[in-house]
Amino acid sequence: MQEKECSSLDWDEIIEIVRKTQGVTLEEASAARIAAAHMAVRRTLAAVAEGSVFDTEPAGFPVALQALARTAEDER
Amino acid sequence: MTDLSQLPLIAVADGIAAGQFSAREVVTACLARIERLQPVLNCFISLRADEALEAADRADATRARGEALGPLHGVLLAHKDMYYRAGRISTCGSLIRREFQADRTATALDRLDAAGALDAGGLNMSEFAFGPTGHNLHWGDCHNPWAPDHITGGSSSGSGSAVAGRLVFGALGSDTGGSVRLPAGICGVVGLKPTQGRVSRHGIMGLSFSLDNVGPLARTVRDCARLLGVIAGPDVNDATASTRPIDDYEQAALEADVKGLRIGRPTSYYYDGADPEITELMDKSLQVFASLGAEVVDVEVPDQHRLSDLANVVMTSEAATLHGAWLKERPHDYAPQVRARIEPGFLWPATRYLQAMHVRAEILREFVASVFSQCDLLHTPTLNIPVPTIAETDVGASPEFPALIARMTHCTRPVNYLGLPALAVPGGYSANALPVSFQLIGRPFSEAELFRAAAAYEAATPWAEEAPPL
Repeated sequence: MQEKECSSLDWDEIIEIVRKTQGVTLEEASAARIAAAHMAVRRTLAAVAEGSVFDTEPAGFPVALQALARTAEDER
Repeated sequence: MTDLSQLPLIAVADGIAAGQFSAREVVTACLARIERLQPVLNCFISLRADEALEAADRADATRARGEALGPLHGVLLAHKDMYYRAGRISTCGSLIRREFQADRTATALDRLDAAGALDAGGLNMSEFAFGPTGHNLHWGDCHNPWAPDHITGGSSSGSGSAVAGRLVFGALGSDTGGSVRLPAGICGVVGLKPTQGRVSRHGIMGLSFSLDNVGPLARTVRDCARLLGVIAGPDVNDATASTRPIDDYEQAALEADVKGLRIGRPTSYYYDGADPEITELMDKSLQVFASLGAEVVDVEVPDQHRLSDLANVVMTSEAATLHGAWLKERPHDYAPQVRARIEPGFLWPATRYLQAMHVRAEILREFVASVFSQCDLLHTPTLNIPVPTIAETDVGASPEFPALIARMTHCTRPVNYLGLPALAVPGGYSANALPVSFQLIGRPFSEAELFRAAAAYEAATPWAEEAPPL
């Protein structure tokens, strides 16, 4: 059995928040997985998005895909 | 006489166009095979045999009148049961959409129709495209033609099984975390996840609109290239579809050349936890590339674990948005594992989701700059363990399921976050006589390069000629 102290998020609280805000009922095992995922993503984002994202744009990704494609000039 | 169902897609299209055989003869051969093998493979959710025969007769009449023929004229395909066709039921592999009748036709299907393809029906899939194994609680599990007690991979389970089993000549699947590449690899066929935006998603079920891709599965690289050439390109009904002109993919496959190409073997992540047998087969496939004139180089890749985390935030947030009302009103109509996979999306703050989306371009730039300065194409396993059985992977929503999902999608999921194209290519067999596959990952919109390299490998190996023992 996982310890409830495995993360700073309390499973019962998670169940309550999702029930109150989304109207969806979670089981405790789901809440435990969600708690673990939140802590993992918090660590990941702390590493990859530690700076400001103020100057990013919503269209940044498709524009980057286009810009990073090989051009005819590259192929020559 | 040749069993017409055994021919690859290109040979069938060419044979019908040349009058060597009729579309009706081809469809009749395929329907006989479907009738015999559907009870074994369970790859169809709905079979439209009469409609396929009628369409074959129309195709033969068109040819008899001397009209121009499309590149797929009279070729029998079938698609994952989430491609909408107006007036027809698309179940999305679910109980909830058992009776759902679409009010529009997917752009990809419209384009296949215009190219002359025939449609045999809706193929089995994981419920709402959630699930990398091919289990389905509502419509029954799909079975691998190479060994029916083994998984097909998912979520495009029926697409992999039907194409590998020689029931149809090609199929569309969808790929959000590996759902084209896994069934293609596990069933021993070719499957493409195109660059994000290369193919319109209009008229298909959404799982996660930032990560979903339409992708073809077929028996050979050239077959797959022809299918992509038909479905790719801009679409007024999908603003996310790229306006970049499409390349001549089939010509690239015909060129079949890797001379001077640098093929990268990742030194981290993709072989984490890999079975030694798979590693050995990957090395053998790299030796083939080297023997054909490619330079095989070891490549350091940026941390890929974080990509899975970020993809997970994006996928679950978007899926929870789409499924919220049903999960509130009828949660027990979902398989427990599917429900459990969507639920985390209800708790991500909007800021987390948007952070995961906003850093995507920067992470892509970093990956391309780092990896594609060292090589032209990255070569990795599609699945780095031997294909497991259906029983071994039947974990439901038990505590083992997150690890199973992570294991199965280890090599495929990061590519969806990056939006890059990746082609799964058969690369031999493991000791359990099940297919092994590698994926080639390229720069954005480099599908032609992937086909050119994969076709060279395919021509030098016997895998595309081999059929499952059915």
